[in-house]
Amino acid sequence: MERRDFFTVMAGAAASISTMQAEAAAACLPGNVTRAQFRRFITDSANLLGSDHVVSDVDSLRPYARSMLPFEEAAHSPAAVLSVSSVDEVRSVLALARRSGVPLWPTSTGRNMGYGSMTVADPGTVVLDMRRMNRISDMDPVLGTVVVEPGVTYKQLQDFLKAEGHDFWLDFPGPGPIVSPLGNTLERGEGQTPYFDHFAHSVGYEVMLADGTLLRTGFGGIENTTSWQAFKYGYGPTLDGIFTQSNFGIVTRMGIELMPAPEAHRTGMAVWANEEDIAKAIDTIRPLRIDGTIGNSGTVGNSTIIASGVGRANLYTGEGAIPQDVTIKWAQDIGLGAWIYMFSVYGRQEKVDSDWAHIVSRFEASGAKVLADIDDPAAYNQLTLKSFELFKWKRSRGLIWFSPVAPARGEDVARQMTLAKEVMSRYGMDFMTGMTVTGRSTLNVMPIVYNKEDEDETRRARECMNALIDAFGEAGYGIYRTGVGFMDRVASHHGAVNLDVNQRLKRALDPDGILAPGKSGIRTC
Amino acid sequence: MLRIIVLFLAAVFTPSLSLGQAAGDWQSPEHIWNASCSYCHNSQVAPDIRGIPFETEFATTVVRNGFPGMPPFHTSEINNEELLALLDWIKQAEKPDPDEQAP
Repeated sequence: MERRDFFTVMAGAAASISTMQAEAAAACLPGNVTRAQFRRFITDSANLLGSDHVVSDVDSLRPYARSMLPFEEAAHSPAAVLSVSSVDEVRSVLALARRSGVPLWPTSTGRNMGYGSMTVADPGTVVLDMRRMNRISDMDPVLGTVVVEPGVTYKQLQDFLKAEGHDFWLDFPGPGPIVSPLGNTLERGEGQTPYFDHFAHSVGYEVMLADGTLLRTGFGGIENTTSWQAFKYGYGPTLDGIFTQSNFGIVTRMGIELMPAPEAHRTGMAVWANEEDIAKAIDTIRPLRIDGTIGNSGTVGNSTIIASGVGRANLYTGEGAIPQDVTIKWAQDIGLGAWIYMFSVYGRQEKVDSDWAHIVSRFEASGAKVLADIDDPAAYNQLTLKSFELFKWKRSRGLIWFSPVAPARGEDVARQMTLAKEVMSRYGMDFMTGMTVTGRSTLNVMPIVYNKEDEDETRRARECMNALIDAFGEAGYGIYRTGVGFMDRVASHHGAVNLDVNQRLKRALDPDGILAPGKSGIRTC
Repeated sequence: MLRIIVLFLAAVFTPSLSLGQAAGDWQSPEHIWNASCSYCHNSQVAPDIRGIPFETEFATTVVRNGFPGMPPFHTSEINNEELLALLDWIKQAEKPDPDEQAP
């Protein structure tokens, strides 16, 4: 976007913001909490944390109600925001919350963009903002582990590692510099190096339960523990997983395994020309991922997501969803095709060379061409926000991530693509996808990019997401992650027993329902 | 000599400090720019706004409420005082070299 265009758009956006501010209603209170109880909760919180760290007036709350999801702000707006700086403050706030019945929605840096940012599932829930808890501790350069609090960002952690002279890499999600490793891991986010599975590379959690109990998972409960960050599973049930995408506790610290910087690495791009090549592409990639020849999950992208930085208006001005033929032709004209796969290999130079040659031969045998030495910063420890170029597609603020999982079989992925394209087209939404090939599964992360200033388009985006969730659920496919406003619907497709067991755990660990009601569709009742 | 001893003890016993990215932690407006803004505004994701005499009130509204392609930045991340200093620094910064690229 040119500078002049940018400021023209900014002026329009500012006018829109002013209108929204004028129309905004007073923040609603959590259910079953009287105004007097809430007022006392706020007063007590201000006495505890300092008034600078309690936000409860409507004007100051508005930025916290902003998200890219297709809902009116009042539907997911918090009633207040409390900014805490320590575990002791978290415990004290929990005591106030239990006494008053005010529920809390813990957040780290609130950058869960396209999944709800800092907004809450049930309106009136109070955001527990843990950005100020940003200490880095327990760096172990021998084992390559470190412990972070929720407010630490990847940029802060990378700066720390550089300043201390440690030669380790980090694995970043899309909003790398400004997002929390702890927060992204708890959402089970993914990145672009061999450590792409963030949950798999987390080790040892410190969790505050709703009653103020401080749990350390794994071997963290042993007095004078020597191995908290060395061994994930501990003794007895391994509990880490129940604190991800859940509302059973507040994770206040988390260990991270760090990737030793490899001697060499190389990134390439395989290109398949035609839309029907997707099954062939997946069946070629899968064995190379399962046997570890390709070192990272990489990303399979369709031509429309590749074109997002170009801007939709430069490619298509017709009605409805952009035809795939338009972006495929655009991609072919610049030497790409209907599908690309960005992949990387890592290790000693001779291994990289050997793996590279094998991969190229396999891809070429499948009919793809391979472009060598592509720059993919996130694949080699370089922080970037290039993923934000997605917003250039419509110069809009509307984004929903639809994230189904498929078995990594060509026929399944092709079936998902057909299904998604059909549903999206019905609602006039452009079909984009960027798939992570984990090995035996693919996470088909599909952005629904829409113009949030357009009421009709926002409604269609919301209905499209609901239709996708239902269509994929009925076809036997699960969703790996979703945002507020869609959580109950996604949960409903994962079985009544699963929901019931989650609810039993919730009642056992948080009987008052203080923590993040509605997260992943889980409530006490 | 005493100063050297103090510095040595500080180096040995002070926990490793890293520059946090929360309100009150920022070392300077330039620190905010480099750790956050520059990843878009100096990398061709969004226009480079250094050296442009924009209205502070207008820019504050955009930063606090977000903008297409830009998330809101809350007061727990950048407080009002830090934001004002940042906006002044951006306005007074030299206009960018067209060939300059961000990290």
